[in-house]
Amino acid sequence: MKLKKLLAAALAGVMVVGSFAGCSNSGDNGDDNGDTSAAQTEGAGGDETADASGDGEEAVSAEIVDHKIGIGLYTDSGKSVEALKAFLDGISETIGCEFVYTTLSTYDEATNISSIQNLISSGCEGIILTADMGTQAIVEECEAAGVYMAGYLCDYYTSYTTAYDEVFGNDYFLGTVCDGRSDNSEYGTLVAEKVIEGGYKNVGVITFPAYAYPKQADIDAKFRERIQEYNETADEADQITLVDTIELNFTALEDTYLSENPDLDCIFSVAAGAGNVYPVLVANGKTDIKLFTTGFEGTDDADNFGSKGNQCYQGVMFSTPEAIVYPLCLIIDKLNGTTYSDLPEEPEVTDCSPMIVLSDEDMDKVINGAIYYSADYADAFLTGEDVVNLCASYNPDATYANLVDTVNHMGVEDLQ
Amino acid sequence: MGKGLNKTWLKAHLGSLLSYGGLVLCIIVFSILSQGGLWSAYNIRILFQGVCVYAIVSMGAVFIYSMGYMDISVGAQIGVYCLLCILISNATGSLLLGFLSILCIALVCGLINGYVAVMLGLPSIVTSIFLNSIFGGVQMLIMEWQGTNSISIEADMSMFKGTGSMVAAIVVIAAISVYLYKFTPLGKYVQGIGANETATKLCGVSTTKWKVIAYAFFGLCIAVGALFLTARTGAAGKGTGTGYAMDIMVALLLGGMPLSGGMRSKVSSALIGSFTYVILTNGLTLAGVETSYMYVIKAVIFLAIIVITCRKKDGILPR
Amino acid sequence: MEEILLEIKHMNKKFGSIVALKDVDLTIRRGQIHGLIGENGSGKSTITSIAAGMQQATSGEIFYKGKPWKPTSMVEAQRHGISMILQEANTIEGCTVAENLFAGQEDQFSTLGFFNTKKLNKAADDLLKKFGLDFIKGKDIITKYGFEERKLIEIVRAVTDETEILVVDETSTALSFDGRKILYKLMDQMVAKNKAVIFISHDLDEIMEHCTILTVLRDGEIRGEISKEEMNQPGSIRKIRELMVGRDIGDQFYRSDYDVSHGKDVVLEYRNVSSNNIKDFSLKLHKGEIIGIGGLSGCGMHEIGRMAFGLEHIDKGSVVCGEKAVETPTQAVHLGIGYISKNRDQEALILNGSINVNIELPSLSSLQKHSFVSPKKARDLVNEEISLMEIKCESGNQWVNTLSGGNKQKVSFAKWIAKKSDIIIMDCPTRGVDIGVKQSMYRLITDMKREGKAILMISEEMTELIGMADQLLIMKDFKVKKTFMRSPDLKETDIIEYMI
Repeated sequence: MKLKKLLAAALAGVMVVGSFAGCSNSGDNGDDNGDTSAAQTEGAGGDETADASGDGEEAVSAEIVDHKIGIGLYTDSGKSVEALKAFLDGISETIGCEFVYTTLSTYDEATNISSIQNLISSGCEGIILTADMGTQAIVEECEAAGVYMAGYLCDYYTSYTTAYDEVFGNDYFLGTVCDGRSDNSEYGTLVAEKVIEGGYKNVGVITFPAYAYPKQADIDAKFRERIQEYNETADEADQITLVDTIELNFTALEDTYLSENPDLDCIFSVAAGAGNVYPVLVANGKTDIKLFTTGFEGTDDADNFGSKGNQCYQGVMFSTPEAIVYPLCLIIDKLNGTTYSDLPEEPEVTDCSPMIVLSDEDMDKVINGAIYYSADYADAFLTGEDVVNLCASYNPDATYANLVDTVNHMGVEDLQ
Repeated sequence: MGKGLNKTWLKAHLGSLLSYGGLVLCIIVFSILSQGGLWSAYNIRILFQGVCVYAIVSMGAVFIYSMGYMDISVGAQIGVYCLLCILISNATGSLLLGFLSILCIALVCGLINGYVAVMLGLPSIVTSIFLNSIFGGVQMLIMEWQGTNSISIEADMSMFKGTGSMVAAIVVIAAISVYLYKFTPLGKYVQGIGANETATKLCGVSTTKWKVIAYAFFGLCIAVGALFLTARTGAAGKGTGTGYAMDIMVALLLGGMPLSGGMRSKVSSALIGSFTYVILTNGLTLAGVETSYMYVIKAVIFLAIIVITCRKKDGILPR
Repeated sequence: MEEILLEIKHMNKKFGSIVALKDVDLTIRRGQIHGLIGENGSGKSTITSIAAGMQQATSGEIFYKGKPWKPTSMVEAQRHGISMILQEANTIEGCTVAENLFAGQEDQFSTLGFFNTKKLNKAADDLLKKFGLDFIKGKDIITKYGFEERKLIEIVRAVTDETEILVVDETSTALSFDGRKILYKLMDQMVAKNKAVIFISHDLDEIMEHCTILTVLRDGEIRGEISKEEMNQPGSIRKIRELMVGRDIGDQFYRSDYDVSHGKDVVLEYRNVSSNNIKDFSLKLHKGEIIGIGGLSGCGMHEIGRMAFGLEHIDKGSVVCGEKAVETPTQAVHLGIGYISKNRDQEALILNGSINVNIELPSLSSLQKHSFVSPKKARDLVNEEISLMEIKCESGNQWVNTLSGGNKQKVSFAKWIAKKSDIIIMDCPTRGVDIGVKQSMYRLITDMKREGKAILMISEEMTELIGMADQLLIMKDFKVKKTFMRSPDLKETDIIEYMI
């Protein structure tokens, strides 16, 4: 027994020490990971990284100020996280920022506040968050600590509607960039066009609950509007039947949905479909039902898209990680004490261009040239130098309008 | 002779030494790794803020775990209490009223937990599962009824928000807990129930009555914890409180509390455990550990403490 | 002289600073039932547990069949022929009797990898029959049987054809009359096969009756070896007791007076009580009276005690104490009743708790002032009891599970004395307790009577009932068969016929 206890203690000791040894290396983890990702991509990627940082140094080296930025993500794995880390690792040296990450809770406010406090305590001067959970208290905490905070991939709708003064009225909240557009209902219309074009006759719509994602109803409405419009002009035989919208309570689709609607040939899942709907289709052998959805995992949904694989996926929508330059530049400028001449007085909820993929051609573009899919810094829309040039504190000619414009040119059409 | 005494003393206090040791080790290691960052005024402040709710709730939980019982409904209870506290105080404009109502509900739940379990002859874990489901459902219903993702409190809670008031709350609850545990029959009785319920009963102790009292005090702690949680976050939503049941259990274990309850249970387990638990996350962040490694490291430390404190004979798992 | 089977030379054993064995030499020969006797903590069990591989000696040598012997586990010892039957329950809960009997030998009962339960149960039944235990069935779940039957099952498990030395450690205290007979028969069979038995018991009569040689231990040292001839000499019992206790304890063992007078007040009354098998039981217990209830285990006498403490469901009638019916233990304690359970370790004591807790627990309700219990008062109360009862311990903080059986029993007495209960129900109060402690307990009970406390003494040991009770009820099949009044002429043989 004694021996066992000693062993356990020793094991714990070794693990702790070992992990710290690992950590102290990754104290400058940004660079480390940057190197690995560059090494993985070899060739062009590696060169470009080097070039970018080289150029950056030449142009603006004297002025770059080092900052530590904390990033709170709602998830700690998946393509979007890998891509974001790859992008930030790629630009970190050039813009002089060290990035530290923490995982946010999508349900518990207190966890989030503690995570943010830990980031602040570890020396972060700016915080970028992807979830609107306990924001009011977080902003107050940031204000008290003199740390700037901005949003990313999140429209801060709850705060915007329930605590506008406390959050948006606070000097330490700098604004946010949405996951795509604040009004993404355009996607509804685009999917409707594809549904009509594809000749699907029985379509179901799935959303998350309205209290959590109030704007998904708008996409649904636009979709229905376009289908209705079509039905009015189409022959009786060609008309499209729309099944009533159902809400998914953050769980997988019930099997009964498929048995109750046996004639479905297409599902428009405004709720993230890769995790909640597709597996259910596979399990029920119903992959002949076409799936339009939001979000993109870059796995099954890439392999079975359009005319590939089982051809289940026909449409996806997501946003590219480079949009983070919006909150990032705003924070860097604040920290450096210089702001855009055209910066609006109140912080804004800004759009970025969504990546809407509705064809094989678009998917090829994503697979071959989007950092979201490759997690390769070389595929990024922006280099470190580009980001430096977007900041007013490093480039006197930089404007807010230009920053907004930049994040709005990151769609599929902008990919080479 | 001195050596012999030392040895027996060591043996008798090994458990408590280990739990203190875990905390001390965490503090030393993280002080070095964070290059003193652990001791910055800001960090001390956030440590206390982070510890506050855990410490308050787990001190109440000590009375339950002492009996060898577990409670998994605490998370859902906290969630509902936060929501109700906000809703009632927003509707009436009185924070006091909000707090008093959740306190009442908490006490009633204590009654259910303690009394119903005995009446129906159910293990306490069953009633706590039942309460957990009920509260989880209520929380969901409230949020759907409200039609939003999160509700903010309108009342001014700055009084409860400061680190000072949080420290004061920890001290007050700790004082009450220690008093109840050491200087009233309650402490001995709950330990007795955990160590040998039959023998305790045969000492003329009305175990049902004292179980209910223990659960009632636990309820009080949950209500106070919920109040401070609300003060800290200013809002509550459908997920508020999720995970607290597990967090409390882990904190108590880290503090050296045997899950089987009994005479080795201590109120200090709650305090030590809560601090260890919070410092672990805080220190790992300060030391710059990647989030993905954090889970693994925490898991290993947790497991090590369990193996070290687990005495085969007493058994650490609940009955 | 017979061949030497086991020889222990200069054995020492220390637990930390405590010396358990001091330079012990012991020789076990074939064909002997070798008794070990001594007070609790004298080192009897330590010697055998070292020989049977449960623990290691600090120094010294053992020779088994002439070769150095250093077993590392009980399994190893058993494989080489040294088996031990322990004081504590040692069966696996939730398994069948057969599975318990053949634990670790399952291979024998598999055919082609399939486990043959039928074959296993058959083998178990055969084995049980061999020991005369037909009433136990191999296929039954072990928990179906009571403590005594399980003890017998353990015995059957321990003894195989290969067993050379059987260690019987305080086993008989757990057994009833019938169970003991089976055990004694087994011991005799071992001797008949020219093997050896080491018999550890508190019961001097039992030891004297069955052992062929007796070794007395005190404080970890051998104090004397007594042959069968010496045992048969008059006055040998007194001599053995003196060796055990270290002083002449005199003939004064039980109560000396034959004064059966008692107070007028009835403090506890059974009024036509029916509960389960007991029908229409009535009894009046007066202030300052000792009523003894005797019989075989299972005759219903334990239930009589439990009823008065609110532990049995009462169908009809009532147990009344001070004009109030007793329904729950809480009420009973409040009315001044104390109960010392037969199942000491399960019901009377919190083993994983300090002496302090165990003694003060019933008294907390009276110690509190507005729910405040002064730790000093509680400690004083406990220390008073520790010195009064002469409980051997380092301090009140010592855990009860580290105490010897006698001291444990003292603790379960002490809590009711501390509580100042006026009525004490004692179920087998001296079970597993050695002579020195027994004597002091009898003295204590006598004092309690003198102080006017009422005592209900339930016991399987007729001698102590005869020695202590004012009035003695003998029960059989849930009925009182005979009532005796205290008398110097009352003999065990007079009673036995009413029991069986």
